[in-house]
Amino acid sequence: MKISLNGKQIDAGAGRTVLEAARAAGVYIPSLCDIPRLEPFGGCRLCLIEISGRRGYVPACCTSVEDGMTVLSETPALQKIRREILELILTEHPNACLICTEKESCDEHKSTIRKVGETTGCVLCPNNGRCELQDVVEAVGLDRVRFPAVYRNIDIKKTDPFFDRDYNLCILCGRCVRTCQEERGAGTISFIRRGSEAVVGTVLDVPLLEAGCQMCGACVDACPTGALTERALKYEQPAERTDSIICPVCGMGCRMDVSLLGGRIIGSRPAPDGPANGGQACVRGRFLLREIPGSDLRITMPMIRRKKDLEEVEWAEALDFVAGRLKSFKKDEIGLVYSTQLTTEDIFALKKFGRDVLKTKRVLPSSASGAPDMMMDLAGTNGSISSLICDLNAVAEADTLVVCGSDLPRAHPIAWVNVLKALKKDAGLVVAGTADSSMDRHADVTLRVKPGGESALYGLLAGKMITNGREKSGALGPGSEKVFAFYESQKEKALLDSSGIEKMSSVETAAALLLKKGKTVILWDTGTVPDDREKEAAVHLWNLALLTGARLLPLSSTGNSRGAAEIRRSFAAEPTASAFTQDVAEGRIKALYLAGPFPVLKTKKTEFTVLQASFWSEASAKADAVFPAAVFAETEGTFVNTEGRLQYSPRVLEPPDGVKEDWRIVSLLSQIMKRGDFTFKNASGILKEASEVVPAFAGASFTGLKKSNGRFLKSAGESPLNLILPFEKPTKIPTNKSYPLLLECRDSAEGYRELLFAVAHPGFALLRDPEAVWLNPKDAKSLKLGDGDPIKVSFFGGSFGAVARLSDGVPVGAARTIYAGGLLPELSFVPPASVFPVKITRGQ
Amino acid sequence: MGKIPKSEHNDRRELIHLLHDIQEKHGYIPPEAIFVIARKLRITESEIYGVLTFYKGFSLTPRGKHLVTICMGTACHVRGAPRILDEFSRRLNIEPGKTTEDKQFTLETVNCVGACALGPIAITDGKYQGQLKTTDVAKLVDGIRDGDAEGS
Repeated sequence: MKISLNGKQIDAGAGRTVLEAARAAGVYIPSLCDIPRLEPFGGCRLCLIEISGRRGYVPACCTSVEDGMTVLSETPALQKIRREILELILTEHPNACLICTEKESCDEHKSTIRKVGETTGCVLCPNNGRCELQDVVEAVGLDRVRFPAVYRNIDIKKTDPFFDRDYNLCILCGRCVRTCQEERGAGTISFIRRGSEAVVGTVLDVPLLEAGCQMCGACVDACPTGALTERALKYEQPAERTDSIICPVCGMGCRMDVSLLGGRIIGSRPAPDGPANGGQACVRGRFLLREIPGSDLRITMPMIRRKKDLEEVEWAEALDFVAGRLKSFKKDEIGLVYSTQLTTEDIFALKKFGRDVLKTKRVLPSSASGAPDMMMDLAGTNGSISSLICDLNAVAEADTLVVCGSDLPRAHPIAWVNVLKALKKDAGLVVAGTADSSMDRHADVTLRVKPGGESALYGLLAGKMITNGREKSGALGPGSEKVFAFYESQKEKALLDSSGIEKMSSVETAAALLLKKGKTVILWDTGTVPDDREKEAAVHLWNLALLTGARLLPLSSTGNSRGAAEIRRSFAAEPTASAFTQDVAEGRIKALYLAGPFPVLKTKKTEFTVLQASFWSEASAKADAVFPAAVFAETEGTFVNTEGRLQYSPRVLEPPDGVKEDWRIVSLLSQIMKRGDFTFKNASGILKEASEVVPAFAGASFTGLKKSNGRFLKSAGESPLNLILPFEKPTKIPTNKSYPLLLECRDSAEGYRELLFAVAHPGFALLRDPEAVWLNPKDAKSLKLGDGDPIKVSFFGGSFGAVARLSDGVPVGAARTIYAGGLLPELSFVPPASVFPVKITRGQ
Repeated sequence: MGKIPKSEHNDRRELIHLLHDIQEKHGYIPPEAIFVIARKLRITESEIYGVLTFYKGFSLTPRGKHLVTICMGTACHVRGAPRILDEFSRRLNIEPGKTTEDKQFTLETVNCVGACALGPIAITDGKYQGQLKTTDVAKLVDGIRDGDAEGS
């Protein structure tokens, strides 16, 4: 499609707006309200154009291109209109500096003048130099504003964490409102009031946190002025340079642009071209990454405990000391814990270190790889996982979506952003979970199960596929007849009861959506400790997917859970978390090598504990030796996200003196202990070895990944998928009269390695309190507990302290907590399962 | 707060109807109603708040038993509406937009009621009082008070 723009013929591309076509052709049309990802809005009227044959002026952002269209964007009449519109916008925005001839020299001489509470001109504005309004004034060319200036004198809102809201600088372009609503599905903010009183705000003007904001920061990134500004960046100089890294925190693999200044990360923004995140992030990537490398809790020197206290020593001494002690333990007497937020190379080196140097099979990931791992286990004997799972793009393109066991907007916000893209195209949404979620508002049907009732629901749904008319195809594997028979003989009423869902009709509605033609995607997450009950749920979901032709996206909890799951398959089987804990408690594990967070257990002291860590934590008190390890931006390496996308993340920061990468520390130990083959010179060499050992990484190299923007892991063979026969008897959660409530432990990555974000930033603690146990107000009433009361949670085999929080979203008889890796001293326990019976009493 | 009225569609189309019903029944929109409506219509609380602060007809604070609305449109303005408003304000001892302490009167202004020929105009409890003079105000207020006294 061709249009003429200011006399030049340009190729416009159907379906575009004139503004998009002009941008693509490199022609500048000023605009303040348009954002490419959002629906056209036509608010600021700066992009007015003339089209021959049409009367008056039309906004380029709301006008679709038509073949042969003749467009003028720079006529004198248009320029006059634009100047007038800009003048009107500027009457309510501090403008003195914008039209001041001294502006440039002023910037140079008054570089710290921004340290004032109120912004009355550009030189006082935290957004100075990054402001789109400045750009537009420059482009349109304005030398005076003829209308009297109005300062609205609205109180600057500073009570929320991470960013300030100064609506005296707001030009009401609505980008934040639309981003929050359209792109993030939150709708926390709206335009409130009218006319000259109109302002952006929350319901009843409460703080953002109270209004349910998840602090993703998308509004801050969308704001063209200084109205929304990141507090931490307010008084920083502009960054020296920006580099792209992969966020190591959760399993989405977001590419983040980190701004660097003087060897520090001063901020991070989602990279617009990030393959997994496409310009979006969450609170962790947006506001917490900068807190990690420079944290006060950083460990920067090796230490050993000679007598009572840990003492700083040289690397050589610490390595010799540890190597000597480690040698004294026999096979399988050492327990190794590794963080799943490390790079693929670090994890591979640590696994190899465990096998060849420590000579132990007791190797445990700090956080279970949950859903992806379980699906890969099933795939092992029943078909190739790559023909079953899908990427985030498939989520955005789906016609029907089923979200199982995850509050996506909180735990996996980027997956949620993709679900919203599908919903915009009228996809159906089924939400199955134990608690209320902001997703419910968007769902066609919400299936509220009781904790532990998930597998009954999934079994019921799979059965419905067969009874409601899905053809019993023999192509679903040799044993499929038995599976069909299993589902046909299920007692639906009993399953409904054990799922805890009130009405069969809502299950029927969900089943009807699943049976509809089109692409279906099931997103699934497990709890903290994937147990037999969740294995059973996995089997039902696997069958449900096969019966409907759906794709699955198992969600991984931490930055490299999926990579760890692939590596694990090339090593000896790992023990379960509870088996490992028992081995520690009962002394079968005599020494611990902790290269990842592990709760401090209230058991007798382990003989020898080595900490390979980046941050001080509760575990430090028990350590006999500490090796300071590098953090994500200080080490180059790869991460595998929840989709199975292998991405390269460069080293953009120098680690502090005395800090070494994880792989280098274990390599040095191996050389001193003269065990194992650790002759790696760099991380790239480790990936090369991993690519020969781990089939999924075959052919991977740093050079290739840098060029190709990441790639999807290959799994060997494309064998057809089989239906799997579920357990004959459903797994039941043990009930016990002394422990009347069911506690559900959910893990969403709430920290990096040993650093809990709630500790790193007080604002995060306000958003997600790791100490909280949520209860239904009815249960709280009968326990005589109020919001914020200290409680003791006891279960068979242990207890921990917490704080009671009340929420209608939690079903009666249930309780919920974020496990947070057992990093809080009060939470120093390993849960026996994802859902288990507890007793709650007042007091710690 | 009582029950939220029934509605035909359970979506955003119903928002303004529901707000009208609640306003009529309670004389204002109790803030907790916002959260109930949000759940019912599956829209966000902030969207509801945006709509209800947009229209002058909705109030988030309880209004008095009697509503006095003064037109401040151009025609009324030139015919002395500000003086009428001042007089109401003085007689009732409240600022425009406020409610008397005994919850009997709420005084409000609007920008035009479309009855310019009758200006200056006040609407008391839905009754249009045209071509007002400041001396009429006392009579009007007393009339409403007397009406109450007779009724009780």
